Amino acid sequence: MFEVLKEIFSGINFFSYGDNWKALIMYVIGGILIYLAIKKGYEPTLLLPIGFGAILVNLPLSIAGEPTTVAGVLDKAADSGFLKILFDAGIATELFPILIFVAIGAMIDFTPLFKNPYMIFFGAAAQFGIFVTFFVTLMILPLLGIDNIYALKLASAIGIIGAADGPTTLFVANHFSLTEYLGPISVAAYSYMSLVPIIQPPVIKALTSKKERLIRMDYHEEPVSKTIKILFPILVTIIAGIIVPMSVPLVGSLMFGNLIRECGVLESLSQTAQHELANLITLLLGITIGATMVADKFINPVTGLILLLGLFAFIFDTAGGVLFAKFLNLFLKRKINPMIGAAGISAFPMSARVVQKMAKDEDPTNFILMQAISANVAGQLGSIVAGGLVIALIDMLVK
Amino acid sequence: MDFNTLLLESRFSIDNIQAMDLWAQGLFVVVVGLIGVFLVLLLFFVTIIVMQKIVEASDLRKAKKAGDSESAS
Repeated sequence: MFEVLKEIFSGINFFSYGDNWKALIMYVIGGILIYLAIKKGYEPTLLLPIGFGAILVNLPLSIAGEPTTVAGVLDKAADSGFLKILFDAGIATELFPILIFVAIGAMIDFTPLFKNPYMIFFGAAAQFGIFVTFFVTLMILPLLGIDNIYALKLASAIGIIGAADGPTTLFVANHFSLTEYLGPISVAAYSYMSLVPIIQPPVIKALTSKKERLIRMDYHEEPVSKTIKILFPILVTIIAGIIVPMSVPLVGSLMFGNLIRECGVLESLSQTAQHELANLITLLLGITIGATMVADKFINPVTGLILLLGLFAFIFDTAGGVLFAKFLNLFLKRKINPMIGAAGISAFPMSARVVQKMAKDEDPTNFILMQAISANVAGQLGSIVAGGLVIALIDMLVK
Repeated sequence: MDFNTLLLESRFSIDNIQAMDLWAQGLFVVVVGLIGVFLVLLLFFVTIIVMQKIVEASDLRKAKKAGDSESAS
């Protein structure tokens, strides 16, 4: 009788095996992510599915007497769990990040960038943190016993977190087959994206004076030719494809989405990409990422390091953009509000809104939103290009 | 292999880069990566400027043609 009950309720027994008690910690972590999504409104479309996925994947199930996770993704997983199927179909093939970029491309309006083309350089400057963090991480990882080749791959994925670009981070981590750390890397990337209003203002304030934050910038409301809007995604794809071929999946899908938006004859497809496609892929992406958070892989010192260094990268990306603007101001007659530089990260349009809010707090009549959006869309391009370059360079080093 | 030696002797072959110390490889990625991002975005910048010039010139030509035909009629 006891044996029968034990078999039927094997889930309760699950926690007594080895390190399975760690699953309980994952329920708490999943719960915190769901709390942040619902109560605090931090990127709920992603944090809620991730949190629920983290709980789901750490639930017990006895298969052939060997307790394992219900619908796991990693080595202990049930082979045909629905989350594993989603993982194999969408993450392992890099399909979900690419489809998300089609949706993002359809949402982005490059018009402010065409009116302030020089803002594109902030999209490059704000990638500074990626490379600084890459280098710092590369020096730390061998101290933890991680071999040089794996350290190069892991450091590049951790560095990319700084761009606040979830899909690119996922793409890079997946390209290097960092399945073991996909959970913490994705959680860090998406969490910091949602924490832009909390992380960026103190960094910006620390690096700028009140006088600098009060700088006003001109913005001219001139119409942009439709021809330019159509040619831009095509030409950018060709240029990126020739110079950084590894960035083609990301740039190509982003620009495909943007071309659908701007061509003027595919309104229905554009709306579908912006809404249905974006929502559907976000939903599947979130729960699948959550499913990579298997307790025995997630709860280890490297996870803490990834979260910490991801934050470091994010702070340095913000600082890179602000310092670049301050550097340009040394030579420019018409000064740039250095806060604009912080919008050069990829978190669109949150970062631009944060910068505008800070400008408004200093002077309610100061309006720099359009310049900030210009830098922000440039940041989207910059992070993709940086991702492609990092992949190309690391592939060359570890070949 | 020492990074300075590589720079001085200009022997930037893939084999030599792979043989460098880890920190030197890291530095290589940082320098090439940052320069690369700026260069690619510089190309995007040039593309925007060139497109704007071409479209401006085209609009000007069209306006001139329209003006000519109006004055002729």
